[in-house]
Amino acid sequence: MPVFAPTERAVREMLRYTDRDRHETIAVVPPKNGVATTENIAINAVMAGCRPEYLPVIIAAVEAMVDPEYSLYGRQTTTHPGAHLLIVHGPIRKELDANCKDNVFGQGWRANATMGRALRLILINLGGNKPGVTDMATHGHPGKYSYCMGEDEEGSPWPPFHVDRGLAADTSAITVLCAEPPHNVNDLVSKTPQMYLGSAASTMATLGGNGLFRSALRGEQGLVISSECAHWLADFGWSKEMMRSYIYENARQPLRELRDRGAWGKSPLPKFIDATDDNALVPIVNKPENILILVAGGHQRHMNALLAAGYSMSVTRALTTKDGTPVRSVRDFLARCCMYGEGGVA
Amino acid sequence: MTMEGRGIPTATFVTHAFDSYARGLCHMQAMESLPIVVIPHPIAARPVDDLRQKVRKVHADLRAALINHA
Repeated sequence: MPVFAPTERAVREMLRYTDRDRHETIAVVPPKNGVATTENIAINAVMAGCRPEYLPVIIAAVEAMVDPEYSLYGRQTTTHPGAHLLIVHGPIRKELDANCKDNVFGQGWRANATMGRALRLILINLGGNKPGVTDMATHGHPGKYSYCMGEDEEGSPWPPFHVDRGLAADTSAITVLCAEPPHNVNDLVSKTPQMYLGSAASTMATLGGNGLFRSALRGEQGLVISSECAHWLADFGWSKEMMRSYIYENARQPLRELRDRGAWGKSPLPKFIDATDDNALVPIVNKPENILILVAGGHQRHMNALLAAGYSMSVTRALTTKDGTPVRSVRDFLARCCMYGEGGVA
Repeated sequence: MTMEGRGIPTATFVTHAFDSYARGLCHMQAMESLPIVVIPHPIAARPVDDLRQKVRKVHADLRAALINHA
């Protein structure tokens, strides 16, 4: 893949969009334990082709990925194909033109293409990620080049995802979720939410997925639905909470289908499953809250399942100044930069 | 690595397909002395007799890792 030269001028321009000291350690990135300073992050972001104003997103994403809940060491080195999906929330999506509608996982948007790429370069250059050497993914997936989406908050009848996570709607934020490639669910004709979401549940409870075999562990599974389908469900009176509960109850397989296949026996079953009952229905997560619902995409009735390996939880972080004040706009950083000098250095 | 770091003798099994990976991670974590026992690949979904044979071959290495290294 081509990279942009991280010239001093380009890096300096990028550092205008943070109030962190350029030498401040933002994170230590496993498995190599390379130090991600503000400057190192900016260098990788330049190399990836990011615009300078994308930097606050990349910094927040790096901080999120090294949160212990995310288990980055394991995600960097596993044979599972999971890639780090960067989800952008709040006003900054529009400001950076992060795509959240048509072809949301596809090509065509610089912000999506380069912000995800910047994370990958940081994992390679600072974290020592190298296929077949430290990254033992059996197949990997194309999202390991870049994997980034915005949520279609304006198109959603429900509160946005970052509000579910306790942040204010007008706060800009990011979430990282280590996920397999989006698995399409095409349901053109179902007339009820139960049938429609039943198609999603069936896809999410595929016998080859990790969820069924790891549902006693920490883990989440995601579903992305389009604005028009979200409104269609809302017109039936459905909330995201109802969707989570429905998928939790229906994305299951009977124990007899799991026995002696997949990752059977590698992890315990959930305590509420009677291991002697072949008809016991095993879920893909251990509680409804661990089904993640996101609204994004273009028209029609497609959905996309974001299946995950387990052993890792998504992490959401508000974009903040270094004193922890949430920011709405990248211009907030420019104002601080002028106040304190480049990169927040007085 | 955590247990070894606490002074508890360990032997880490890897198949030969993951040998250089394991040693690379040990190097990155400054744990080059971590005892690694290499077993022929693959081991997943193999007949029990095949597994027994593979384990017998590395039994001496396993003992050495746990006893000599302690």
